[in-house]
Amino acid sequence: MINKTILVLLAIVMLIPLYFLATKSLTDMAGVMIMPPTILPARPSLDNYAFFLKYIKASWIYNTVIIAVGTALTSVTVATAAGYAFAFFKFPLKKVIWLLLLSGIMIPRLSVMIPRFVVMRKLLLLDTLYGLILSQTLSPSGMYLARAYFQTVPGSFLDAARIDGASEIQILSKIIIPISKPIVTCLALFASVGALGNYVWQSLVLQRRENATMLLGLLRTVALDQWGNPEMTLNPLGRKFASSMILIVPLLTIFFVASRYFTSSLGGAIKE
Amino acid sequence: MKYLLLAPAVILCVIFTLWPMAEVVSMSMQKMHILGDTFVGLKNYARLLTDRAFLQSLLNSLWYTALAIPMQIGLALVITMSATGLSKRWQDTTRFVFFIPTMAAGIIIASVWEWIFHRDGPVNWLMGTKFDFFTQSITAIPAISIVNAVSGIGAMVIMLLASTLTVNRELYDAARIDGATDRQIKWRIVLPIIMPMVWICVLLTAIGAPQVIEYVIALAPYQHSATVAFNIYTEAFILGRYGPAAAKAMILLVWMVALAWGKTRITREA
Repeated sequence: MINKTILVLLAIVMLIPLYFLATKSLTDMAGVMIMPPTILPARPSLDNYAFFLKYIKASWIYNTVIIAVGTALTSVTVATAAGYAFAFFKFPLKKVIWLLLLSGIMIPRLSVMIPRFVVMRKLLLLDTLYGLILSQTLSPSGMYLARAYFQTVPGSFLDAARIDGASEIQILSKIIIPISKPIVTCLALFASVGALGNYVWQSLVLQRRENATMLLGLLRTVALDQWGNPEMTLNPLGRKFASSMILIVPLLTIFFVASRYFTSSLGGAIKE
Repeated sequence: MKYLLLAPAVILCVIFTLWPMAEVVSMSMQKMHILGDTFVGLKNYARLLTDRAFLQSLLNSLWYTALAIPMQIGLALVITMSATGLSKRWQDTTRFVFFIPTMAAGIIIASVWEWIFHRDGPVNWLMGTKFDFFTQSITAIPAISIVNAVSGIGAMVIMLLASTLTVNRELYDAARIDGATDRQIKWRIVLPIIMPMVWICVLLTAIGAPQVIEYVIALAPYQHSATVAFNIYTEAFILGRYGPAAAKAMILLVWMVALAWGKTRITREA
């Protein structure tokens, strides 16, 4: 009983910021700063959201979807193909190539970010959506998970398919990926959620206003100094809350829908 | 055929990891001009020794690490130990609920933390003060550590709970017959068994702390609260000094790879 009480109390503490984010985004300036904070919005108002309705550009939504779907597709394709090759084939220098491919796990984000930015500039990939997608396609932990999962598939299974005349691509797409659905879903979600949330990298790569994602677009609109000064507000916090809510709600929806895949595969992903 | 399967991963790795890593090594030994780059050897590294902002960010990062480890590991262990022995449904819900803050992490949640630590916000209201938390190291670093802990423990809970499932059930029964209480079983029997995983979590926390950047950007983008990551970011992308920034990036790399290497050793033993 005491265990359950501890869990429930801690859960409330951890989730309360989200709760206040939701309710405070629906109040006017005076409502935001009422202390003690009220459970329901004290002075309800939709102004914070109405502001964004005016400034959201359709291209931001389009770009966000393209990046989410694009990164998921490319990342899963690359990770499963490589994972398959490493799980079932022998080739020279296999171990060295594997370690090089995985080296990305150890390299801190900020150490590789500066030279990657320089490389992207040389390759003319800056300020393009496909540049952003390609730079985040390779997922070392995804490859690792895919290989580990594929190794549980018995080799005789594949030999049978080969005898029946299936090509390697067919084996991968018709046998391996269907039976690896949990891991493939999980990799796709990691890839798109990771790409969508990577604020620092997005803000470096995507510069023009029409290339922005929802994340960049909303944050830059809130930070009035960028892209001109759309409309001053007496309630800057409320406006920030609304932008946070617009960004968080879709993420949490994806998480709720896919949670059964997420949490089960996650342990292994982080451990590596 | 097998090479065709491998090719995309290898090409991407070369373009986006190996080439940049070679580039950062050479950048760290160059001075960049408009007219071209000159080789300056280890000068960029030598100058870091007198770069006060960088030295402070190193010290801050140690503080962030020192605060993050007890906070995150302590919380994650309390949650894990409370959930062990409960039904599968409770455990699944625990994993799920404590991962929600991890999904809604980073710059998108920073606004509500700005409010929580605002001088007219709930924390000040509870303490009866009017304090600006983010204006000095001594309060900004703990505040950001708390924010980071809330979004970081979800993953640790999942890993630790998974490792408690490997504990042999017979051990529980044997201990219970010998008269051990629920609490003794958890902290004296289960904890020692999952200790390798706890150490992995400690190292993951130590790897994460100096790399905290989005909360620093959003809440306290100042020298007094900078992590190494934030200092590198400022040097390169705000001040545009790529050479020194690359040298700093190399220092961070060595630091993180050392910790990651330690983690791999534990993973292998576990």
